[in-house]
Amino acid sequence: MADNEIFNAEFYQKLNTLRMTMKMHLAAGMSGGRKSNAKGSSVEFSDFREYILGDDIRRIDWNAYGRFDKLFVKLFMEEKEGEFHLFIDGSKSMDFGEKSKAVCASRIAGALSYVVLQNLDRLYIHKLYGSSVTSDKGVTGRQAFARVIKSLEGIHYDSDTDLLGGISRSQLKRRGVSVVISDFYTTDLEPMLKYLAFHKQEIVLVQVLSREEIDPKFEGTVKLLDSETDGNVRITMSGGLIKEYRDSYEKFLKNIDALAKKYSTQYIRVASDESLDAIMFGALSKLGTG
Amino acid sequence: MKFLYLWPLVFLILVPVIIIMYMLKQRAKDHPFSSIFLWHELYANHEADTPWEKLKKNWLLFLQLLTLLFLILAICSPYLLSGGKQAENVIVIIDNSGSMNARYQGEKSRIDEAKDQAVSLVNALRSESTVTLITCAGDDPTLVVSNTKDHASVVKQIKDLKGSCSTGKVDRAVAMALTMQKQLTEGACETYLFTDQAVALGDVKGEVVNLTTALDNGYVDYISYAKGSDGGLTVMAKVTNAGPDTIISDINLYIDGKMIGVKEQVEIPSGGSKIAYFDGLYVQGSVLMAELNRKDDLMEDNCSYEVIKTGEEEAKVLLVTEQNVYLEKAMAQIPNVKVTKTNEIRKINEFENENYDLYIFDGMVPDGDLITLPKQGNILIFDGYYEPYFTGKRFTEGLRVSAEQNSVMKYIENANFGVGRGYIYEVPDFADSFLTTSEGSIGFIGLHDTQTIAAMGFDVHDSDLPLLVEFPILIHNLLNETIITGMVSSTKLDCGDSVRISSKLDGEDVVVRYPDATESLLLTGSAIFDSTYQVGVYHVSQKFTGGELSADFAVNFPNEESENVISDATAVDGDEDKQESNTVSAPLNLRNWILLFVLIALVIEWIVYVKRS
Repeated sequence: MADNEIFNAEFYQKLNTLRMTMKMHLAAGMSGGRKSNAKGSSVEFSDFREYILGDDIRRIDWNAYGRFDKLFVKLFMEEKEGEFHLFIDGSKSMDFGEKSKAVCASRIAGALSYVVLQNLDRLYIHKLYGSSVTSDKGVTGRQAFARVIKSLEGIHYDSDTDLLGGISRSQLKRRGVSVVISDFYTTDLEPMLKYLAFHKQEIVLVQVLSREEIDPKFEGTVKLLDSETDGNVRITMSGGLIKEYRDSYEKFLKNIDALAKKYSTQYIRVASDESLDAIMFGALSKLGTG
Repeated sequence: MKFLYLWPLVFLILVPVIIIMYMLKQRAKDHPFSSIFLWHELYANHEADTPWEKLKKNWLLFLQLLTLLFLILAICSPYLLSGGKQAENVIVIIDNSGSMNARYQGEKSRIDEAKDQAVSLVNALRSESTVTLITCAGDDPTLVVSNTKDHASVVKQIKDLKGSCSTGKVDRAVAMALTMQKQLTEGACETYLFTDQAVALGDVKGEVVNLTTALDNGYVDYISYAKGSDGGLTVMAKVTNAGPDTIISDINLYIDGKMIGVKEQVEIPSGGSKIAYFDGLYVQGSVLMAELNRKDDLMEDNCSYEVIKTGEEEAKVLLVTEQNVYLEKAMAQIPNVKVTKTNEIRKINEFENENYDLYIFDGMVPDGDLITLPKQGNILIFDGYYEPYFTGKRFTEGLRVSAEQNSVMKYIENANFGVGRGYIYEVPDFADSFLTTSEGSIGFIGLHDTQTIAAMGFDVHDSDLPLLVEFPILIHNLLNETIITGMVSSTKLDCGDSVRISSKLDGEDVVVRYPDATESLLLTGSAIFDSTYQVGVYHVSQKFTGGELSADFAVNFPNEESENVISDATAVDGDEDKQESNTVSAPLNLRNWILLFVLIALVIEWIVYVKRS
């Protein structure tokens, strides 16, 4: 089994178990196979509350009025079709690492897509290429999974990074969940989060990093060539510099963490050399529990 | 701190070379990376801009430079002077006598220790110090190197120095050092004596490095034999224990390498001796060896050799003369010659039965009619002729005699002397002239049938020949040509002793085979052989037309040296002011310490390298 084969037999085998582990909460959308937190007019009873002006008088429970002499309104769990947007960073920096970040990102996107489609929610795939975006048509139903996989396989990681530019060009018309899969080597993270929050999106950030980025190992004087731009830095490696890099890396992660908290965003981090098991039952399983 | 050598400073040129190599090495290697987003922050602090900046904080470079500098320093051989030990002139005396072969510590012998210490001493001297090296094996000390500043050659000479088995006259070496010390006009002189003998330095300024250690040593004093009338041998071997403890050992007896007797488990107390007798030995052979069969700290003296004489070495000479002091004196100098004198020429044929090796007729010659020359043995005639073989013509006027090309005149080819009167010979066909005058030959020698016949046509009293140094040599040569007997003057020697080896002048070169089977050649005639540095039996042989001469002689380890093994070199009176120790108090050589630093620097460099990568 080739490591760089994105969707292999192992991947499909793991998907069934993944469904059980992920619970994602939606606040808005069409009626679907998911129990929404929004209480609505569905048949499944949820709770009572006192009547307040403006409530639909048809939902007043008259039996309760007879017993308590107070007006209560019946609340029902509204079943809705959720709307999911998967934004996948197609920049060149994602195509890096002995264990490719691109492969890892595609697999995560595939796994999330499977869960979304299993729940009969609507899924939109957005491929971010620099400041442009290629968005697939929304799909729903399990039978659409094959199409999604094909689309994910078609991502070419060769552009530069402009997450804000790409996302801002996508069509976010309704409340939903936006999952952004990227390495987040950008300074526009906060504007991007602001933009998504403004469009009533529950945001999930999935950061994919390679081992080489987490723990760089090279010696002597090296000229680091940026894979996306013509930029380079020329540095002489030393124990001290490695330490400083790690400090800088920690700061970078903390910054994302802080922004995630600020915008009530779920933020998970994945190393590209982690096994599929570790990713699915580790990082991805935490999604929706927060 | 001073330096032994300054030339290694040339290697300092490597310092800029290393720096340049570092700069070249710093060429950055392209390394693609996902994004330099995180590296930008570090960029300002760590970018290597200029070649000089590249060297900043480069510990590996500094460590390498440090290592190089230490290495250069080590090659310069720095040393610390201590207590005025750095004299301008140093005399090193190494006792390489037999006892120095004894074990010092571990497997190291005293001579090895002496050599090592002497090498350290010389290496630590200032480059301008002169060094003299004296060794003292044998009767006379040997001046190996005199007053040289070439310390490397002295070190080589010391390293090449071999221990001998001979006695050593250390006091003579000290006397030589004293003489040299007095001759030196410039600078102070220190003498370092490495020995295990008790010796007083006296007026010699310096110190004794005493290499005596308490050791275990038993040795064979001597071996001797007697031949019975029935041909049976009785052998006596004396063994002595010079060590501090009683020893128990077998005493083995060998003849020509074959064991013929053992005295088992002989107990010899410390300082005592035992004599072992072996009798009734009916064996064939020529070399006896007694062996103390145990391992101790000096193995060279555990065997002693004796050559069994065949009894044919002594030559018998009949001198027929009225009176010839000169001739008798000259012959007395020649070993292995038993001279019988007579003036009764008429009874010569009676003497013939005595089987003399040589008949010398001095002024009295058989007439060849009633009295004839003996048929056996060689003939030497002075001042006369024997008509059956040759005739002579009497001259009463003075004659100048000079040498002719002949082996008899070896070493005295320029001899020239006057003769008052004498016979001018008609040289017979079988002979060659060796002395000539303006009138003709006055001396010849040749082989007539089996007899060597030589003649000199004058009375030595009527010439000035006895006054010349050539006279004894001429007589020796003549006798050497006319006497065939044993080749060696002695068959039993101690190491370092010399032996006279007599051989035929017209034979091939004399071959001496050493105990270790190596061989050397000696010139024919009489030669003094003194390379008796190996213990064992030496075989001497010479081939000549019609035969071969050969002889053996035994060389043993001197007992004196065996006793020296445990003698206390410190027990010398009148030398109290002299420093004495078992190590030389040489200047402190810092080379090894610096090399240690180099090693440490390399380890640190390795650690830094590993840490950085």
